[in-house]
Amino acid sequence: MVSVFDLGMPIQWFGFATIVVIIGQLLLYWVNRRARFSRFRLWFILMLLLFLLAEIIHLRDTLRSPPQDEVLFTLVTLAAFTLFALMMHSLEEFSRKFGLASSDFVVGLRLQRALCPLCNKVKLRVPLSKLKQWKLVTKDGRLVEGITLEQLVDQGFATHPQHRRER
Amino acid sequence: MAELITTPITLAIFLLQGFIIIDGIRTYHRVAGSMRWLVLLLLAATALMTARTALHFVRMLLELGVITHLLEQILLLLGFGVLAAVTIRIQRIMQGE
Repeated sequence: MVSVFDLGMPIQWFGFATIVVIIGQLLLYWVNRRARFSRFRLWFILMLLLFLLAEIIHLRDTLRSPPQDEVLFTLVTLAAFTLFALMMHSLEEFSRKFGLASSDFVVGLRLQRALCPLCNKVKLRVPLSKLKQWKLVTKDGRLVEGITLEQLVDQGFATHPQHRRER
Repeated sequence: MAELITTPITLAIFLLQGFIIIDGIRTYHRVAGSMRWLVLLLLAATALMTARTALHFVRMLLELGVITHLLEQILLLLGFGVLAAVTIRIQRIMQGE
């Protein structure tokens, strides 16, 4: 077996550079470990750790003479990509949690919670874009200060079904 | 013998990457503004890694040589380079910038 430090071939050099890039990213997360937590971030860190493991295995495999089969490497890579899929899936939650600009779908969900957190069944009778344009709702889906659900219902902009316990 | 195990696993990785790309495109349409850049970067990293998996698969089947292996490694490094840009963006978001 060739020594781990005998990085004479370009393949090993690129593999080594990839490992350095992954470690760099993990260090960045370590430096900011007290920042607010999200599931997206957790999947991202776990995925990076698995990719780091896969790359170390790959580097070890390429340094062996004759080159080894890549069973373990492909298995760890599969696990890493599973976490990648989970990370991609939790992007919307990340977007909501950190108050980033969202589409009308996410804005609508947030507005529902703002209007009536008990039932989430408020129906808008005018498009969301109009409410934003008339400065009744903020761009990120919150009611403008001073505006209430009752006012929207009175103006005919929304309907709100009676709650069961109020009947 | 090892090909019997690695080929289906590589195919599974390939399918998973396809799923990630489809899910990423769906997310791209559901978010807006700065989030779209984040999704685009993740999609770019996935595309580079998918190209790498495809090349890996072809290399395994046709038993191609060192040049293909080198190209694979370059694609992977580029993929992680783009992921590093994602990480930097996430850090800035979490710090409220």
